[in-house]
Formats: sequence, structure tokens, C-alpha cells
Amino acid sequence: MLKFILIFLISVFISSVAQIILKKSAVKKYDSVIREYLNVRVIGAYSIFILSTLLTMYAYTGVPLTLGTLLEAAGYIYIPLLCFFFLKEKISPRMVLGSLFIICGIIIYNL
Amino acid sequence: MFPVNEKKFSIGAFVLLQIALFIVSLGAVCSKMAGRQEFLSVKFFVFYGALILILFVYAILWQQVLKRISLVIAYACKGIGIIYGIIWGIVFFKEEITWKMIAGAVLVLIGVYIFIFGEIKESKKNNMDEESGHNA
Repeated sequence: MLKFILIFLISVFISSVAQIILKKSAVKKYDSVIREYLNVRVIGAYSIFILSTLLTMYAYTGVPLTLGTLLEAAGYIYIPLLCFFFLKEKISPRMVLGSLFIICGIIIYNL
Repeated sequence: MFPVNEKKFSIGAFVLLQIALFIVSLGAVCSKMAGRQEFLSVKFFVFYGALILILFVYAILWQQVLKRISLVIAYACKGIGIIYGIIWGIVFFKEEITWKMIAGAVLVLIGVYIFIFGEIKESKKNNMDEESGHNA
């Protein structure tokens, strides 16, 4: 089961990386609205999302649904960390506290 | 289209985010409905098609949200999906709601509130700094 948990966590991680790529694309200025969506970054990010869904589907063959929902909460840890390293966003104590509440909420919801 | 302006707090951007989250929550309903139909039946395609359409609209809205709001904040707000999940579970599937689910949802809401409250405070500070800069 550990193997499937790891695959699930990798899937959530690459999905978080795709969010960073989308954000990088969103803050860039484009000539037209179409170019905002049809560019290498956005297409690449959504390709990663597809890969992530395939990995998640595979991981669910060895992980119960309830645990899967909890593992998805790893995104609340990955995203602030990736934003800190790649987007130079500050991580405030409020963000850490907010993340803890959200993760605890998701865990209690699925108990 | 709005200009790229992430630093100032914008109610409009948060409204757009809420619309996106509301729409994607309906996607989960369509997904579950599609799963209940006979595979490749007309009803299956109706619900699956609706799901694809919803995800397409969500992708467009999400990109606009990311233009205006920090990714950390926008991602944190996705937790609100749990509330919609409870509501749609009752409305469409007559699912049983437990106290644990309600307690979990309340904690998620508090977490999202902490995030948004921090953003509003930070934004007000930025606006005041900008105004004092203009007056100087």
C-alpha cells in the first residue's frame, strides 16, 4: 500500500507544479485573450493535470477513497512551498495557521 | 478583460473565484450522476458532456482568478468545495450528514477565513503605503 500512497503523493505534487505553471502564465501579458489560453505553459500545465489524474486513478487501485481524499490535502502543503520557492511569495504565519485548519478540517471530515 | 493586478485586494476577483468553485462543485455532481448511468448510454453522455463543459468553463475562470489573486489564497479557497459537497450531497443524493462532516467543514471555513482575512489586511496596508507614497 505504501507504493500506492507514494504514487498518490507524487500525483498531488505534479498537479501542484502544474498550478505554479498556470500562475506563471496568468501573470504574463499576452497580445490577445486566445493567447492567454493557447500557449506552451497553459497547454503544458493541463497536460500535467491529465498525467496527474492517470496517476491518481492508478493509485486508487491500492488506496481507499477516504485515504485518497486525505492525501489530496497534501496540496495545501505543496502549493505554499512551491509558491515560496518559484514565485517568491511570502509565507506568513496566518497562511500556515490557515493551512493547518484546512488540513485538520479535511481529516475530521473524512474520519 | 481586467488588467493584471494581483497586489490590490479585489472583491470582484473573489466573487469570480466563488463562481468558479460553485461551477466546479456542480461538476462533481455530474461526475457522480454519470457514474450512476449505464456506460455509454444517452444519459451517461449527457452528464459526462456536462462535466467536460463545466471543467472547460472552470479552466477559463481559474486562469482569470490566478491573474488577480495569489495562488496560495486561491488554492486555499478551494477548501470551500467541501461545503458545496455537503449541500449537493443532501439536495441531489439524499446523503446522510454527520457531525464530523459539519465539524470538518467548519474548520475548513475558519482556515479559508484566516487566509482571506490576512489578504485583506495585507492589501489595505499596501493601499495605505501607495497613498502615502502619492501624497509625499
